[in-house]
Order: sequence, then structure tokens, then C-alpha cells
Amino acid sequence: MTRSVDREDPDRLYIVTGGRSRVDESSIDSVSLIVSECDPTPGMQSEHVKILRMCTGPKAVVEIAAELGLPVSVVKILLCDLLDTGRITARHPSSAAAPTPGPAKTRLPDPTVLKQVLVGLEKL
Amino acid sequence: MDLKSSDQATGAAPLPSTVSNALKIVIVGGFGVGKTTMVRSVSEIRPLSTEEIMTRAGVGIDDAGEVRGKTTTTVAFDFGRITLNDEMVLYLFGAPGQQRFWFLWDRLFSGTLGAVVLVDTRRVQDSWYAIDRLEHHGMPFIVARNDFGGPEHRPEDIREALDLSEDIPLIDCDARDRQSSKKVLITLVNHLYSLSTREHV
Amino acid sequence: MDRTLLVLLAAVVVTGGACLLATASVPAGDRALVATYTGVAALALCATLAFAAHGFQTARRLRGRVATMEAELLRLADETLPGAVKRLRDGASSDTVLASVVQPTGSAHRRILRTLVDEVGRGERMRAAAMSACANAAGRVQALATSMLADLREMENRHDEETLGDLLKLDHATAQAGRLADSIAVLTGARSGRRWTKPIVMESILRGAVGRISAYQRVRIHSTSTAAVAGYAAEGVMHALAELMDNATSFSPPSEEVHVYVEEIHTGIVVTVEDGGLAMSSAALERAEQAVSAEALDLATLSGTRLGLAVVGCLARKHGLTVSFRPSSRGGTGVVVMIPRQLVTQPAPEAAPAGSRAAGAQRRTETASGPGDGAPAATATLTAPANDVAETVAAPDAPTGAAAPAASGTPQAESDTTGENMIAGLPKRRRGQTLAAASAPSEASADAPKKKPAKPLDPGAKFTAFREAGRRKRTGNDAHASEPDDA
Repeated sequence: MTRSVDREDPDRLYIVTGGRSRVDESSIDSVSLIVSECDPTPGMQSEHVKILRMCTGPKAVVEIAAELGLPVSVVKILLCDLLDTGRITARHPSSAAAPTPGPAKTRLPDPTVLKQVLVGLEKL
Repeated sequence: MDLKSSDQATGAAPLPSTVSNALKIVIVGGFGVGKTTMVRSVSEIRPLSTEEIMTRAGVGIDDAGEVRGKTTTTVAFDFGRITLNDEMVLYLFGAPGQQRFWFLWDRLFSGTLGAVVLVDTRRVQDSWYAIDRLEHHGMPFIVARNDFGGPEHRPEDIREALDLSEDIPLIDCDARDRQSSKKVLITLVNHLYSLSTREHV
Repeated sequence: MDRTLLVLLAAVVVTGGACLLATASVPAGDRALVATYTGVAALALCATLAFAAHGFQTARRLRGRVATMEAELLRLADETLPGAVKRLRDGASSDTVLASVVQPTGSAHRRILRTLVDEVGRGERMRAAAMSACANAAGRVQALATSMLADLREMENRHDEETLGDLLKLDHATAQAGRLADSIAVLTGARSGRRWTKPIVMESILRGAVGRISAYQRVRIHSTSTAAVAGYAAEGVMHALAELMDNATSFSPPSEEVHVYVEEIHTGIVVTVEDGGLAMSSAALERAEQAVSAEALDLATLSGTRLGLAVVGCLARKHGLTVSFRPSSRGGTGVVVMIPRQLVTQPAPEAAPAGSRAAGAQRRTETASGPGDGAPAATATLTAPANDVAETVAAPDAPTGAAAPAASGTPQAESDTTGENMIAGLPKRRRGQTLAAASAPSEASADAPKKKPAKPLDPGAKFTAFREAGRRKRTGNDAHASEPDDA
């Protein structure tokens, strides 16, 4: 009955999130750029430590999730903790900055932004 | 894990510290159509995924080959990154087109600029759901036919088969090729630009 | 008997002689009378003597037999039976045991021995069968729980916040069920449910423990330790700590937190679990300590409801943990667990705690994409062959020419092969059809509620869509089953 579990960890996600499955995370987008504002302190949850270490430069939420191997929604909860205590700051995408209750997805992007995207892509 | 080694993990230099705005483009298509390949060909980081841990066995192999060796479907999406300038970075998401993955759209892809529907003409049906969904949401998109060397189809036949409006760009591409994939993205952004200026005028 | 005869003979000779002497010594006239009387007296004396000799003889014989029987009984009670019972407890069958012991000579003793050995043997067989059934069932529950936990984790990665909360609840319940199965496995002497193949850092050990108890949100962990517990012992240490944390939360008010402290010392790691409940009496402390430190598990001391300390005792014996109880500075009870140094490893210097996952990612990336300087061109070249793999893999189900759409396996291609549904060999899409198909049968749980999905459809079209949806669903499942899912 013994089963090899070398790819798993004993940490269950509800322990990582302290029992929370959601927070008011509308403020954090999947590509919000996270920057740490302080160094990790001893005794900090290991995920928080890793986030603070990997975000010395801006890093998108999805990248953090991929590196931690955790679901994006769980990472958002962890990020909320750090945001609330001022340990990180978040740079939100301008397209998601003003979430409107209406069909926000049909809103077309600003032409000046698109122009910059084109220039950036041409340089590739 | 210090910063240096974690950057090695993604295989790229960190973003400029001045970057403040992240944009999204979604590449959507059926199984094995080359989404990951396209993301990889233009991304400055090796494509990452939230489910990276489960699919390591297939590192370096396209999504089609990767699923051969495993029994469960786990990867929700994978993504790559292009730094556009000192302020802007573009994230490319490869998203499965099947219905059961579509919840990701709301969760991850809100605020997306637009979408590329990647089509394999041997299995055009795989793209139907995605196209229906995009039309339904009013999300601007273009269609790119990834060349798998199958039978030749005239563009107008593909357009008719997919029932695409005249104003939706339809192009051929080779997802493995960086320039070709770049052209696909530029076509999408040009399309968005023309839609946007038309609306703003 | 011989002796009796001998006595009789001697008596006859002696009394006979005496008779003759007496008879000879009296005058002839009295001889007949004397001879008669002395003869009678001699006979009586002989008979008496013979009887006495016989009685004496019998008494001696009986005394001997009684002594023998007594000795046999003693041997039966002191040697044979305890030996037989011990051998039965050790697993020998009653026949084997009966064959091997010294059989008592008395048939009653033999019957006693047989009855006892049979009964004890039967009881032993019942106990062993019950234990093995429990161990077996526990093992199966453990396996189920482990695979459910893995599945849940996989689902947690795939689903959004709405579902995540529910999944986390199931995850928590499954973890507790798994712990209960682990406890039964430990008490029945089965193997532990999981074996970790890598050292587990203290943070994960504590999280793994606290995740298995009901009131995990009341437990506060204070640890800066970066040490790890060897993989083979990690499961047992987690389980023991979980039982102690569960006790602490159960025996303190729901409003009170339970605090867990970790301290690295030169002989190992000390974990202290402190609750704010009522302080245990010194007698209770002693009993608790007795329960976790006994030489071996005595099943008879188990109570039906509180298995925790017995489990901790088993695990402590197995892994050499030292568990002691003392009054807590917080008012309740403090339990101190010493994890011995031979179970503790320190992670590689400078590596972050629990960094194995990220480190793994890094290593694999380096092998996959070169030295990691991130040159996109290098990455692109490396991935070109991979794309060939994709093509080859995709090729078999992609025949050329007009047959392609028909063979591609979607229901439309098979059922709508009429000309109007094909464009130059390509199946034709009908707008909105897949959405209607998706939403009609199951109200499309994944459908975004931005617009009413049915808006563009009149009732007739709706009905068609419904039928098509049903058809697509039926055949569509088969089509998907034959095709590996997209990542």
C-alpha cells in the first residue's frame, strides 16, 4: 500500500492559504507585475519568502504561480497577504485597471498603446 | 533560491525595473495545433505553465508529444513573454480551445488585447468552439493556419468553411518559425489597431 | 502384595511355631483345647497382620501416586500450559503446539491441556484475523486517501476560486480520513501509508501534521528551522505530531490557540505543542507519559475513542522519538517531542527552505535549454526537433486528401458529409452551433454570463441545436476518448 510520492509535498493548499480559498483579489490581475519592497524575515511562510526573493524585479502573477508550482488563485491569496502588509507592490495592467461591470472584454484597446505594441513587436 | 538562479529557471533576463504595464494576447486552438510551439518561438522565456510540475517529463517536447506519455490532463495553460519596451511587456498565453478549459478566459485572460485562433486544416472542427466563444464575447481575433504540410486549401475555402467575416484576417504561418509567429502577432495588432481607430474616429 | 504374603508367611510361621510350642508345653489332656485356641488366635493374628501389611502397602502406593500426580499438575500449570499459550500467541497452530509439548500421563490432564490449547488457539486466530482485516482495510483506505489527495491537488490547480473552496474542504476531510486510516494501520502493525523519497523540511512536516487535524486554523506554528526530516521517517513524525496537535486542540477551549514551537538542538529537533486548556493532573501526566513510552503496545489498554496517545507511542518506538508531557506555561499542557539527530538532515547550504521544487525546475531548464543565458535563438533551435515530434505524433490520424475530414473523428464530419456541409474537403462551421451544443444539455457551467446564450436562436433553432448537442455529446465523447487531451 505504500506509494511513492516523490513529486508531491505534504503541504496541503488549505494550509498554505490558512484555510482561505479566496480573497478580494479583483485588484490583482493574472499579469499584474509584482515587486518586493522588503527582504524576507525569519519565520516567514516559505512561499512568502520565495515570492519576495523572486520579485526583486517586476514579475507577473502567472510567472510567480508557475515558479511556485501553485494555482494562480492560491498565489493571489498569498500576494494579498504581502500587499496588505506593504511587503510588495503591484503594478496592474492598464487594461484591467478599471474593471467595468459591463462587457469589458469588448472594449478595444487604446490606439496609442497598440502603436507601441507594434513597434515593440517589429523589433523582435 | 536567489534571484539569479530563479532567472535561470525561466531562461531570461529579468524584466526592466521600469516595466509597469503588462498586456495579454491569447493563442487559442485545439490539441496539438502548435500553441506552445508558437509561444516558444517568440517568447523570451521558456514557456511556463501553472502545471509545470506535473509535466516536466516532457520538457522540450511540444504539447502533442508531451501528452503521449501521461495519463492525466493537467496543464491549464502555458505562456511566454515579450518585453516590448521599458514600460510594456506582452504576455502570450496558449489556451486550449475545448469547452472545459474556457473558464480560464474569465480567470486569466480578462483585459486581453485580442486572440489568435490557430487552426490545423486537418482538424478545423477543433477551432469551432473557440471561434464561437470569441464571437460571442465580442473579442477581436484573427485566424492563423499552422502549416502541417497537409492538403492545400485555398484561403477562401478555409474562410468559408470557418464562416469568417470578411474583415477577420486569415493568414498562413509556421508556428516553429520566429519570424512567421511574429508576423501573426503583428497581423493581430494591426487588426486591433484598425478596429480601434475605426471606433475612435 | 508380595510383601503382604511375606508378612502372612512370617506370621504363619511365627504363630504356627508359637502354637506348636504352646501345644507341646501343656499336658496332653489340654492339648486339643490349647491347640484349637492358639490355632484360632494365630490365625486371627496372621489375618490381622496380613491386613495391616496390606493396608500399609496400599497407603504407601497411593501416597506415591498422589505425589506423581501433583508433580504432573504442577508441570502442567507452570510449564506446559504457559509454554503452549506462548507458542500459540507466537502464531503456532494448536496441533503443532500439542504435538510439541510433553503430554501429561493423566487422561484428564491431557483433556485439560487440549481444551485450553484449542480455545486459546481459536481466540488467537480470531484476534489475528481481526487485526489483519483491520490492517488490510486501513491500508486500502490509506491508498484511497492518498490517491484522492493527489487527484484533489490536481483539480485544485485546474479550477477557479468558486470550486477551489469546495475542493479545499474535501481535501481537508480526506486528509483527516487518511490520518484515521494511518492510525489504525499503526496500531495493527501495518506499514505506514506513504513513504517520502526525499527529506521533508520542518515547515512541510508541521504543515503536513496540522493539515490532518480538524481544527487546523487554531494552530499557530513558530518555526525558523531549515532542517529536514529523513524521508523514511517523515510520515511517522508528521503523524505523531498530528495526533498530539489534535489532542491539544481537542482538550482546550475552541477559543484558545495551540502554539507549536520548533527548536534545533545538538541532539536533534525539539517540537513543543502547547495548549491553553486545563492543566493535566500529575496522575494524568503520568498516565499519558506511560501511554507513549510503554515497552510495547497493549491492545487491551486501547479505549474505543482515544487512540491518539497509543499511536504516538507506537510511532515513537518505531522512530526513536522521545515524548514527554509537562504543564504548559500557557496554563494547559505542553508536549515535548524530541526528533533524534539521526532523523534530521540539513538542506544544502544557501538553498531556501523547501526549495527543492524551484531547484528542480532550474536543473531541468538548464538541461533543456542550454546554459540558461536565455538567448531566444538558441531556444528556438532546440525546440525545432520537438515540433517535428509534434508533427509525427499528429500525423497518424491525419490522412491526406478528401478522406481527412471524415477520418478526423468529430461527429459533424461523420454525419454531415453532404456537399453543403463541406467546403473543399473542409467541414463547415455553423456560427454559434458549438455554444448552443455546449449550453443546451447542461446549461454550460463554464459559459460566461455576459450575454444570454440563447438570444440569437429562435425556438426551432434551439431545438435543432439541442438535438445536435445531444448527438455531438454522444459521439463527441468517443472522439475525445481516442485522442489524448490537449495540455
